[in-house]
Amino acid sequence: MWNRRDFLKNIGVAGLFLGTGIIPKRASAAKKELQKITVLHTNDLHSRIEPFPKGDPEFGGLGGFARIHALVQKIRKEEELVLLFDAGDVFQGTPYFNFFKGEAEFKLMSKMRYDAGTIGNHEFDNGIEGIASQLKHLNFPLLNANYDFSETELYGQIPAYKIIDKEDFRIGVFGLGVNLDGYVEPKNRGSISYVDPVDVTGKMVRILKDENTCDLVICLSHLGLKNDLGFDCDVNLARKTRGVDLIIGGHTHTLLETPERVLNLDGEEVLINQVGWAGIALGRIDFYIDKKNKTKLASSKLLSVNEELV
Amino acid sequence: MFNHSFICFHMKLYFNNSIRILFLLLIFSGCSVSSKINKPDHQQNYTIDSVMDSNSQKDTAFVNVIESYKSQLDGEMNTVISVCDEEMITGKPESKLSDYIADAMLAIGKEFCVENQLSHSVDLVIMNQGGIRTGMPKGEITTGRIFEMLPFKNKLVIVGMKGDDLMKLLNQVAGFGGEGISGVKMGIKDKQAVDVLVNGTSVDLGKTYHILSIDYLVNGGGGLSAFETRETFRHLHLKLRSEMIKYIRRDYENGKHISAELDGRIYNVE
Repeated sequence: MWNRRDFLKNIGVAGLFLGTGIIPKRASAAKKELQKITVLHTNDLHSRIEPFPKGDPEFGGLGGFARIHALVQKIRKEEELVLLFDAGDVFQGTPYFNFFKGEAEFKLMSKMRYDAGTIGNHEFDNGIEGIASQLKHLNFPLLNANYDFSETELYGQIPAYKIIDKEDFRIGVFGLGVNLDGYVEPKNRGSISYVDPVDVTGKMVRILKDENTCDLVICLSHLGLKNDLGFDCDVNLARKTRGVDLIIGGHTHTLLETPERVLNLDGEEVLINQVGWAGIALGRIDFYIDKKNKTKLASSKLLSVNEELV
Repeated sequence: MFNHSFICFHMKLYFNNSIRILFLLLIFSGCSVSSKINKPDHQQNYTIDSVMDSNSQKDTAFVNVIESYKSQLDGEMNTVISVCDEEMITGKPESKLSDYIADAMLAIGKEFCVENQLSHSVDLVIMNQGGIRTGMPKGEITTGRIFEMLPFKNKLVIVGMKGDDLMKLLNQVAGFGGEGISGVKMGIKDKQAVDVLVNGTSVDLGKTYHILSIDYLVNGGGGLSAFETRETFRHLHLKLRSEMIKYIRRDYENGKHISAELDGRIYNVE
C-alpha cells in the first residue's frame, strides 16, 4: 500500500499510471474464452466537482468530475461491459455542497451513468431530509442493506441491493454503511439504526448468489478498510463472510495501489479496493469470467485523475 | 492453463469446488521523468483552468452543467481574504494548521466572552483534526479555500466542565492520538493525557474550566463522549467558518498573514 504522499510523489513524477505488466501471452490466449466485465469505481468524492487548486499542498491539480467522466467514457468505448459504482460520501467538502446541497454532484453522477452508489456518513450532513430531498436528482439507486430506515423519510427509498443483467451475466450489488454513532450527530441521523454488516452480508449473499444465481457479488461499503479499535471494517467483513467477490470500499480515504486480498470463511480470496478520496483516482478491476469452466480472473489498475488524461 | 510466474495470488476453490478467482497484477510504471507539476508561488483563485482540459471538455452538455453551478459560486468564492506565508497541513499529534485554527478559535472565544460581558473567559479549545478537511496552501487565500477547509455547518459552543471531567476529555483526545488544541499543553502516553497544563498551570480537579469547541463534537458527533459530563453549555450562535473568515480578513487588514509555528503543545511521550 502506498501512503498518499508516495502516491502523489509518484503521479507528480510519472503523470498517468501506465500498466506495464501486460497479461502474459498464454493467459491472453486463454482470455478469449473468457468474458470480461470492467468494474470502475470511486469513493468519498466529497463534492470535488472541480479539480483541487494547483496550489493545494497535498492534492494540487488532481481530480475533477469532468475528467472522471472523460475517463469513464473512454473506457466505455473500449470495453463491452462496463459498470460504474461509488462507495459513498459524495456530499460535503466544497462550496458546491454548501450552496446546492448535493444537487450538482447527483446530477453530474447521473450523467456519468453510475450503476449504483451507497450512503456514507457525510450524506447525513444535512440530516435525513438532506438525503431524501436530493434523491430526485439521481437516476441510479443508493444501496444500503444495514441501516433500518423504518419511520424515517428514507423508508422504501433506499434498496438493499440491485441485480444487473448484462449480456450473459448477472451481477449482484449491495450496500453497507458505517455505524453512525460517533460520526453523525444524533439530530442528523434520527431513528436510523445500524444492523450488523456480517449478518446482513449473509442474507445478501443468500439472495444474490443462491436465489438469483449472480455470477459476481459486489459490496459497496462505507465501513472503512481497517479499524484499529476493533469496529466493523472491510477486512473483517471479508474474513467473516462468504460469497462476496469484491468489496468496493470508502470512508477511510485509503489509496490502494492494488486491491487488498483477504481470505473469506471458505478460504476464497475477496478483493477489497479503495481509491483515496475526492476523485483523485478512478479504480478499475477487470473480471474475466469463464462460465463453462467456472473460473474467474481479475486484474486491476489505479487510474490517476489529472490533467494528462488521454 | 496459465503461466504461474505471472499470477500474483493463488487459485482458490470456490463454491462447488469449481470457480476460481485469479488476480493478475498490472504493475505501475515508475518512470523517472522530471516533475511536471510545478507548484505555483501563489494559489490560483478558486477557479482552475484544468477543468478545461481538452479531453474532459468534449462533452459540452456535461461541462455546461458544471458551469451553470460554478458561475453562481465564483464571485464570492474567489474573493482573496489573506495571504498564507507557507503551506500548512493537519497531522497528529500536532500540526501547524490545527495550531493555527485552534489559536484563532481561542481568540474568537475570548473576544466573545468580553463582548458579552460573561463572568468567565475561555480557558482552552478543542477542535478535531478531522474537521479540517484540506490544507492551507502558500499564497493568496480565497473564501472558497476556507469553505473547503471548514466545509461543515459547525457552530461554536462553550461548555463548562469540572477539572476531573476535563481530564477524562483530554484522555479521549490522547486516545485519538491528539486533536487541535489551544490554551492547553499535554503529553500523550499510553493513550492517556500526561503533564497537562492549562494556561501554564496544572489542572485543579475541582475547578470549572470553560472549553470552546464545536457543536458537532460536544453533541457526540466525533466520539468525544466525555463532553456529556459538562456542567454548562452555551451556544454562541456563530458558525466556525464564518468566524474564521472574519478573523483571517481582520488580521490581513492589520497586516498579519496566515502563519503558525509548532510549539510542542501536544506531544507523544515515549
